[in-house]
Amino acid sequence: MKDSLRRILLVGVAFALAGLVPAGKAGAEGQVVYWPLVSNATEYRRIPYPREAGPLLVLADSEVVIEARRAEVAFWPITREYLADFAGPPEFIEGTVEIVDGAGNVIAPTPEPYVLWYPAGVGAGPSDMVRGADAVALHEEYVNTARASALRLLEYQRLVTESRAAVEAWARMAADDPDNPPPPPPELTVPEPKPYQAFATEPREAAIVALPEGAYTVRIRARNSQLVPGSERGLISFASVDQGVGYVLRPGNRWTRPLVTFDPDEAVYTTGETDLFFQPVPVVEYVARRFTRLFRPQSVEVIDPSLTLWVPDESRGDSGYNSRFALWNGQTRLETLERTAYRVAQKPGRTRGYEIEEFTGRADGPLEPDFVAIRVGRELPVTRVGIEGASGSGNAGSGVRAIRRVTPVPEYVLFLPALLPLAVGLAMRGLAGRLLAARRDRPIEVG
Amino acid sequence: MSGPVAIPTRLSVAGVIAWREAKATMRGVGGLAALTVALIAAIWVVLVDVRALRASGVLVLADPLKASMSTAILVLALFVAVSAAVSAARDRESGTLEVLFYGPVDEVSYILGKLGGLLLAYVAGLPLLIVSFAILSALTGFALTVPVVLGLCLSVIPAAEIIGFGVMLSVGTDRVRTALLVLITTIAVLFGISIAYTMVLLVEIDDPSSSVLPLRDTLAALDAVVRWISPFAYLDRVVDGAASRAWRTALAGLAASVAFTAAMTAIAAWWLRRRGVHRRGE
Repeated sequence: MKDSLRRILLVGVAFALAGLVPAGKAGAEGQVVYWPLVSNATEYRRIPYPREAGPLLVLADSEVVIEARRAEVAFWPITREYLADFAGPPEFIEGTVEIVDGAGNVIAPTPEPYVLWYPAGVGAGPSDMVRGADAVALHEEYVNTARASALRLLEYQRLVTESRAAVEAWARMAADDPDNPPPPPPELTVPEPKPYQAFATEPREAAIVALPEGAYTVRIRARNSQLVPGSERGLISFASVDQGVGYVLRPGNRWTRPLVTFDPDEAVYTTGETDLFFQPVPVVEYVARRFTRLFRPQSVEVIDPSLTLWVPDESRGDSGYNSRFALWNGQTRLETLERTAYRVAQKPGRTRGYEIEEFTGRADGPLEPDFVAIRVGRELPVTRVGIEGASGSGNAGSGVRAIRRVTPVPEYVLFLPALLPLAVGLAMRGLAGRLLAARRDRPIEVG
Repeated sequence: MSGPVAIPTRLSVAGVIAWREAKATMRGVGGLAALTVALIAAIWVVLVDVRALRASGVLVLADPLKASMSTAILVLALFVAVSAAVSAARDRESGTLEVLFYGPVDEVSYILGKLGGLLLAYVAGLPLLIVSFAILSALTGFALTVPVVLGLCLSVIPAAEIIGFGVMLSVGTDRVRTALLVLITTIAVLFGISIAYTMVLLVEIDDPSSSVLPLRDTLAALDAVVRWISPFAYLDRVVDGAASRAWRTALAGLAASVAFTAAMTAIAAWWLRRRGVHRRGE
């Protein structure tokens, strides 16, 4: 026994020492670092791939910019990642990017200009890649529009300053001669121009590919037709497993704290105290381990390889869910509703609070709706919701969600099931005792 | 002592031992108490979501009873592991083991009997657990989904592995007290490493020369090992995999559990043969 324990302890110490050994070299090392611009169907990001980060991950059929830089790479023990030092002027690897598929076919995309286009502004919505001649034209148009918008804004600010100065001058004159004040200056009626929020990056030339699902090899061929040493890497292009409709769910009494339900296996539990606002969102299902590594390829997180993840898919826009929203009670359809614009109006007075009301303003007016959703009233006995005529199939495609209305019971009542085993045990003991007594009392038949 | 035993005889002997073991476990108060504790722990876990729903009025959940079911299964698994360790050690301490081996009992039939009996007791507890959860589901309004119930049913295989683990640890001990100590220490180490690693991940590190880093990396390495060797890790993989609809993981966990159970049974039988049926010094 003592020998066994000693052996177990020795194995434990060996593992502990193995853990103490640093996972990689502490010093920095110069190497080819791929620096692709990849999309997760919502936004684009540059992801550095030192050699230790493993194969490049990209979404199938999404446009990806493939570039590589030479950089010093060092292990950063805090995050357990190999970090490339991109400080200083970028040293891009010159040459032709080649993608080799499983059958050995080589694709060598010609570098072309591209821009990243943020129609709602950076960090305020999806971004899109525009390539080729369109990229240059878009950038030119963006610069012109942004410049014109800035000029309009400057002009407006000049008018505001002039108007204020006129009002101040009038106020001074009126104060000097209060009995006979001069006529006030005309009110400023020029509407404030809307700020231009869109943004486009500078056009840049690079190899752009959109690869079907599969495993590839990426490499760079130098001008002398030789492969750049250390440039050969794996590349995995992965596709979605399924797609469907999810929701951003706003409780009427907490509209600023929405919940999301992207997974069709989820159900909505409600106490029925508030209206629910369902905002449909196109969603797509990916293998979780791949998707979470798309933007963090060196993540140490261990994710079950068979788990999947539902995420919003901005690239699909409104298509597929801009249909009628059906409310069901069991098999009975209660109502079909359409998306409506809502505005949150603050209540005046001491009670404060707010009310969510239908937005009645003009589309081109100064006011905008706070959100567009489908209202499910608290009074409706809804057990299921879903979208009619959606493009997808099954529960995921039609955005079906079970709605379960719950009446909370006192907490001590919930502990009653814990007594069931004891009750069953006592009952069985009682029964066994009775059977034993009956057997004991039975007269013994002789002969 | 007994010589080689024919396979049909061995199986029937194992069946007799298993039936006696199962009856002893089910008749005792321990099993019912363990079920009650398991349910109290499960209800305590589900209270988190009940309170959240009461506070916010709306909650989005896929399997609200998944975590509580996993907790209940874990408590039951701990109970059968302790029962297995106690049972085998008690037989040696009381001399029953020696007496048994004068009959047609050999090491394999004895170990299989212990494993089968405790597994039968575990299986007998599952309907009660399902009924209790059905009542809990009705009271809370939280759905008891098919994958969660399936996870519970599939837990029988990793439970066999845990019983085998308990029996294996106890065959080398003379006393119940020693067997319990070895089991509790082993379980504490297995769980302690995972808990310690989770805790150390919460520590914010902003200096690469921090002394927490080697500790974190050591714990990470140990945790990776524990995930491969701990029978409780396989239980979690099977139950959670089934409840999360990660079927491949659940099936891989089941296959590994079957292999580990067979290995532990073989090791326990081999150890028992090597160690003999007498107490040390007799």
